[in-house]
Formats: sequence, C-alpha cells, structure tokens
Amino acid sequence: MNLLTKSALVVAMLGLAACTDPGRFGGSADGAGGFGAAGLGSASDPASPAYFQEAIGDRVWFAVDQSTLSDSAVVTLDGQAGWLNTNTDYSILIEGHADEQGTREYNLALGARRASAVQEYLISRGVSPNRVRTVSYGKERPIEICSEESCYAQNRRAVTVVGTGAGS
Amino acid sequence: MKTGYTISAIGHGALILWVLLGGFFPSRQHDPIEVAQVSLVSAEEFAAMTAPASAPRAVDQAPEQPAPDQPAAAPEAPQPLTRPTPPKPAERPEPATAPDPAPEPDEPQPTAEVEDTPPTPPAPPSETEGETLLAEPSPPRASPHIAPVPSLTPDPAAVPDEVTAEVTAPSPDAEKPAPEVTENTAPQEASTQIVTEAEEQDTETPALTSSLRPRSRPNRPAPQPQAQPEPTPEPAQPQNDAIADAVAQAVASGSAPATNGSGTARVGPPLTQGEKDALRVAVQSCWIVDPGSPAARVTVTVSMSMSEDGKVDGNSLKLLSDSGGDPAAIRSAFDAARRAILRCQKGGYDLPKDKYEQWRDIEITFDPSKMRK
Amino acid sequence: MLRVMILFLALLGLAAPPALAQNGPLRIVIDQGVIEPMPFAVPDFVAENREATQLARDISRVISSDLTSTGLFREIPNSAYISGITSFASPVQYADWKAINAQALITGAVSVGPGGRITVKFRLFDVFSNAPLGEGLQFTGTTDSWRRMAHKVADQVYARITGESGYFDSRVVFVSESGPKNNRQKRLAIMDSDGAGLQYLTQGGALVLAPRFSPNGDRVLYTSFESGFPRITVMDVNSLARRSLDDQRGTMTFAPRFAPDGTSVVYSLEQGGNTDIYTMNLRTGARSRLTSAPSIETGPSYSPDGKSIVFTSDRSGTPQLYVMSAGGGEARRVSFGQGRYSTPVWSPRGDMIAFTKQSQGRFHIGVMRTDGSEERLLTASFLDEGPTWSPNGRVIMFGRETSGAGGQSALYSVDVSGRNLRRMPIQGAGSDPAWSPLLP
Repeated sequence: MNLLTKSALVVAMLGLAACTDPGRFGGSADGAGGFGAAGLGSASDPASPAYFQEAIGDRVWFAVDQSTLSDSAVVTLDGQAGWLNTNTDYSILIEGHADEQGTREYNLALGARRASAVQEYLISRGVSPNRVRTVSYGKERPIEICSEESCYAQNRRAVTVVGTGAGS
Repeated sequence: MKTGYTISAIGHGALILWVLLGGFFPSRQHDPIEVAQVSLVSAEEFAAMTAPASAPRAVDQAPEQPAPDQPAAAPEAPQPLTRPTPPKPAERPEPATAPDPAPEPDEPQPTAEVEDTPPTPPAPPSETEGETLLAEPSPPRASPHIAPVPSLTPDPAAVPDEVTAEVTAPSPDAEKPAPEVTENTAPQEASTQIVTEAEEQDTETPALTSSLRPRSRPNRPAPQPQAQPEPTPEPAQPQNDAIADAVAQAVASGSAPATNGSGTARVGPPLTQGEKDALRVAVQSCWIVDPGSPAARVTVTVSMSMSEDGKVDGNSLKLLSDSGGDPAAIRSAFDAARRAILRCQKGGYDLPKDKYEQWRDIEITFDPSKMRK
Repeated sequence: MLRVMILFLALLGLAAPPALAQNGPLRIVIDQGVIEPMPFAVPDFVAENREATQLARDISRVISSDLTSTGLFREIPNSAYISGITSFASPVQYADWKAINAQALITGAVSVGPGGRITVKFRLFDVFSNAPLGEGLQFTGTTDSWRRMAHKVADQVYARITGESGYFDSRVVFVSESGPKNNRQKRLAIMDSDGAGLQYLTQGGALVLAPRFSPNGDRVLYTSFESGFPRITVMDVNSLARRSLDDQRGTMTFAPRFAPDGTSVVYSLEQGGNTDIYTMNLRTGARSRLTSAPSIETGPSYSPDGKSIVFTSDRSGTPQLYVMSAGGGEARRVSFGQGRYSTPVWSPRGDMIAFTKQSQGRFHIGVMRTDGSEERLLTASFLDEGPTWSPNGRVIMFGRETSGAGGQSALYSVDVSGRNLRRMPIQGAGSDPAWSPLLP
C-alpha cells in the first residue's frame, strides 16, 4: 500500500468519522442517519422533549415474543400522540428492542415488529406518517443487563425518540 | 466540551498516524504458496549420497531436487496416494524412490521409558503401551545404518537454541505425562461413545467409564462362511455304494476330516469362540475410530497372513473389500485398520499354536457403523 | 472291493495336501473400536540453514497445535523421543517411533532462501506400517506466510490420515466486542482459523453484526448500522472498500449470505414491521422476493448446490426451520423438536444443517440432516448462537455469551460429533464467527 493510497483512505475515513452517531446525544445509543435528536430542554416545559420523555413516557413494554400493545402501552401512546399533535415541529424515531433470549437476527426482526406496532398506533392517532421512522436494535442495546426476567421485561421495549430534522 | 475536542483531536491525530504507518490496514496480500513434491530416499541412496562428505545437499530453491541423484529409483510416478494438493498445479512429482523397506535396528529398545500415554483415566486396557515392540524382523541390512550427519544440517543438539528454548532435557526416565492437550475443553479420554455437552447436562455420564469389552457378544454377521466343517463324520466305511455320492460328500464337507489322521493333527479343531474373542478384543483395543469422519462410514475387510508365532506378515496385509465411501475415506479406513492390526500384535497375537492352520490366514472386517451413533 | 479302492483313492486324493486342508481364512468382525486421539510425533523441523532455525521450530509447533486442536490427535512430547531427526533425507528409524507409540510421524525441513523466500518440506510416516503416507511435499512462500505454510502442512497431514480435507489454512471473520453489555462496541475482525493474526476490518463507531464470507473468501457481507439503520454491506477483504446494498428508505436489511456462486445475496428485508426473504443480484442490483408472509422470515442459508434455502420463520407461532427452493415458493418445515430454532446453516458437504436451538431456558448448537431427522445437540449453555462450519464440514464455531451483568461473549468450536468443545484462543470478546473457505 503506497502513501497515496493511504492518504486517500485517511481522507475517506475522516469523512466517515464525521458522520457517526448524531443520536448519541439524545436518549438513544445510536442515532439514525438524517435524524438529529433534539435538545431535551427542561422537563417543566410541556413543549420540550424532556417533558415528552419524562412526563408522558417515551417507551412502552411488551410481553415475551409479543408485539401487541398492552393497555398501559396504549395509554402511554395516547399521551405521545397528543404531544406530537401539539408539537408538530418534531419528528420521531421509534426504536424497537428485544431481550437477550433470542438469536440476533430474529430479535432484529422482532424489534422491528414492536417499533412498527407503535408506529401504526401513533399514525392511527393522527400523527403524520412523514414524521415517523422506525429502527430495530434487536438485542444489541439493552437498558438493564441482568439475566433475569426483571431485566428482560425492561428491555422488551419500543422507545419513541423525539428529534428535529423531520422525516426527510 | 473543550476537553472532548482535545481528546478528539488527539485521537484523530493518532489514528491518522496509525493508518499512515500501516498499522490498521492489514497487509493481507496473499502471497501464493507454491507446492511441490519431495521425493523419498532409501537408505542405500542416502548412504551413497552422504558418503562423499560434500554431498550436494543444496538448499533447494527450485522445488525440484531435494534429493539429488536417484540411483535407479523406480520412478513410481505420481503416487496415487497423494492428492496433488493445493494451489499451483504442483510441479511434476519427483520420481519417488521406493521407500526404505525398513531395515530396522533391532537393538533392544529402551522400552521401559516409553510410557507416553497420558493420564487418561479410562484408557484402553494397556494393550496400547509400546511395550515390546522391539522385535522387528530385521531383515538383512542393506546398508549400515546411517548415523552420519549430512554436512548441511546441524545436529539438533548442536543447534544454537536461543530464544524459545524448548530444549527438552530428555529426562531419561521419561515418566512425564503427555502434554496437557487442551486446557479448557471437553474430555479427550478414550471412550467408546460420545457424550456431548448437551447430553452431559442431564445424565451423569456413566458413559465414559469405558470398558473395551464388547458390550454384547457381537452377533456374528450372517455372511460368515466360517467353513466350519460341522464334522459330519461319515464313517469311513464306504457303506454307501454310490462312489459318486461319497466323493460329492467328501467335497461338500470340505476336507474329509476324519478319514486321515495326518491332516487333522495339523489343522486342529476350529478356534473356540473364546479364542476368537481374544483376538478380536486385542485388535479392537487398537482400532481408533473417528466417528465424525467419512472413514467412519466405510466398512473394510482386511486380509493377512500370520506366522506361527502369532505375528502378522505386514506385507500380506491387503484390503479385501470395502463399502460406503469415496477413495480417500476408504484409504483412511484401511490405514486405521492396518494400524490397529500391526500396533496391537506386539510380540505376536496370542493364538493357539496347535491350531495354526486355522488362523494362518485371517480376514478381519472393521465395521464402524455402531460407533457412529 | 474295487469300488472301495476307488473311493479310498478318491478320498486320499482330496485329502492329499493336508496343509491345504484348512477351512479357509479365519474370519473376525470388529465393530467396536476406541475413540481417542491418535498419538503423533512432530520433531522440530530441520533448519537447513541458520536463518531457518527459529522458523523451523515455530512451524513445527504450529503444525502440532493445529493437529492437537482437532481432538483427533495427541502429540508425544519430544522428551520421550528415542531418536531424533537430524536430516530430512535420512531414513526413519521406525522402531524408535513405535517404541514410543507414535502412530504418525511428521518430519520436515525449513530453509530460508534469498529474498526471504522460505521453503518448507515435510513427510508423513505411518509408523506401524513402516511406510510413508503419501509423498513428501514442499511449500515455498514468503517469510511472512510461514504460519500459512505450517497450516498447509497440517492440512495435508490431516487429510492423509482422516481421508477428508483439512481446514487449518482458512480464516474466520467475526465481531470483536468490548465494553459492558449496555454499551458494547462491536467491530469486524478477521483471524486465522487458529486465532492467530487478528486484524480489525472496521472501527468501533457503528454497530456491526453477523459477517459472512463469500464463497471464495474475497468479500465479507455484514449488517452495519453506519447509516443509523441496519443495512447489509459488502466489503472487499483486501481493499476494505465497502458499499451498502439495498438502501431503500423505510426498510431494514440484515441477515445476508452469499449464494454459492458468489453473484447474488440472500437476505432479510423488513418493511412495515414485516420481515421477508429476498435475493439481490450483486451485479445488476435486481431484487426479487422469495417469501411473502406476515410472519418473520429471516436467517436464510443456501445449500451448497444453490438449489435450496433453509431459513427461520415463526409462521407456526415460534421460530422454526424451513426449507424452500432457491426460487422461493412452498416451504417445508424441517424442525420439529421442542423449542425454538434459528440461524440455520447448511453444511459444506450438503448433508446437514447446523442451527441454534432454545429450549427450556438454555441455548444449544445442534445439527440435523437436511430433512430434519437425526437432530443432535452438540452444546448447551446460557446462550450459544450463530454456528458456522469449517470448510470441510467437520467443525462448528459459534458464539457463547455468559449470563448476568458481567456477561461476556467468546468464540467456541466443537467437533460435529459433539466432542472437543474448546474456546478459541483470541484476545478479547467475540461473537458471530463465519469461516472462510480453505485458502488457495
């Protein structure tokens, strides 16, 4: 490998490095491309993403292997839809997650199902489809790391991340 | 936040350097590796080669001539045994010289210190120990045994062993156990069946206490034309008129056992089941089966001739029949069978001398089908 | 009376050569052998010049380590040797090796030529048959490739003794992991089949999953979150150039594998929460859909002949394995045991499928015939997943993760018979291994 190639690679690599993880500043571990997580603001401001996250609740949980919404999940999502219909400047990214009791690729698909269930519900409550994207992390991004049901239950979730940069 | 930028800057700087200096991008050009065959040299040739001290044992750069001159080497052409192997169409095979037919040194081997067998608990009953293997037939030596150190290669003792000096002070009383083969793995012990990790969970694995005894008397396979005369001792008295009948009978009974005293004595009665079992157990304790290999799908029958002292005539060992595999698997299965036979004979198989004619020729069928599952 | 005479003569004639009067050969059937490693000896290769001294020793050690790692062979320590090998050309003292019960003997020599070219020669002997096993061979390459040359020797020895091709001169691509469970960094790494020569193919920035080799080992497919969304990506292993395939907005793509001819890819595409199996021609980019069901269809793997695809589907309610034709269409369920099955991989020999099975709170790596019969579980632990076959179909490597907050992942291998479970000796944690073909 000569110096020229190396230099070219360095340039390329720097270019790539520049666009990593915009979302890491938000609540989520990895950010989706083109999706800038919003500054949180203050939780006391009902129009702030922090309020969305803490007061309304940004996540819902699922039973083992399931992607159907529980009653309590529906309550949370109704709140989310209300907030989103008020604060129309924001777009959202719904992350689907699974617990570690499953194989990687299947769990990726399972997480996608969960994210999609939330997406469909929010849309049904009047949120514009253009504002919503989904992603699945499968079992790659657990919140709780013990290997017991108490942790698994926390990890089987869909998280609604509020961001700017609407659904480009 | 400032610190973040600083760290970032330093990190990126370091990364750039690293990349430039070639640390990150692996140089994984795959230099092609060339392959060539190397011929084998017989003792005579070797002696001839080394006699003139200046034997040109060149560091053969060309994949050609590892063994300089081959006097009258019967060019065995490309051994069918070798696959020409990997990449580069192997350079044309060296005319292989016939392998040294093993004029073995018959100085008594220091057998006491063999004991290389590892402390594997359920090892097969000691048959495998290299006890008295010394007794090689030792045919007339073709040439004195070559000790000479070929000019170019230093004696290993003299090799300047720096660094990793794995120098093995050959502890004369090599009591040492074999190397720990693996540190953290499943049992390597000899066994007659496989217990996987999955199975281990629920059974208390009684399986590993292997006894080499056949669990059940192997049901002798039907096609066992054990031409047991089943002596139908036709009274020698030709009561029967029909000569033809008698002759036919004699033919049918194979050997006219009772009529002729001189014959019977040398043939002796057929081996008892116990005697046959003894032979079977002796051989099977040396038969290493690898149940995962294609060879474990091959059944081979091997024939051989025996000398009166119970030793196998190694040259007589032949593959009689096989079923169930491709040529490589068959060859491997035959090799394993041959090793079992040769290895376990030690000083000779324990067979009744008075029945020599009954076991002068032996055919052994090695059927691994029960080992596979 | 005459008759009697004739008869007597006839009988006499038949019995005449008494020595021949035996009953044919003694026939024995043996159906029980022993399962144990075969003892072999590999004296340090002869260094044919000074520069080769260290190499000769190192090469012998790698050969020994390769063979020993299979569980099929056991090295006899050189302290037990009666005679040494002082010259590659000198005849072997078979009796000396028999005496220490070495069934196979590997001798060799190494020389370093001008320009750093090294030559490695070896011979294999069947000690108890007093004969070489196959021809001697000689490999020539650069000094840098000495490990590969050792692997090639070991592959030869393995093949000659077992009757099947070896797998040592191959590589494994996998996901190297670091950090705790809830903040795990993952990057692609590649190593030799014995764990040596670890190198990284990506930086830790973006999540990467489940790499797979192309049929000739020149490219790697994997799933990358570089864009923020899972995308299948193909990387050239030599240049590290990469591009993502199927960038369609609003979809996720993952679980890719090459077709046996290397020209197309089969993978999962998720859209609107539903995951199905697609193929894409790598040259034209043309995509075709193989399944369309509301259930999850993922983890596709081609049969070596390219005619069938095995995959995971939860259409029955739980993940199970199905086989369909490579063109799609009706799928036949092949897994019927208790539990959940996923990550099926067709063996290179074509006769088996390896899979991950979850049952009663544990994970297993197992194998079955391609019709689902003869299921055998090879491992059991808190979390085993993602089997990959060695190029000869003999060994399965997979990832194992320990439980709990401090859970760590590691690569393990196991013989397809279920023996010889061992942890791969690599630095750091790893998951999702994929074996390359045997290198040329």
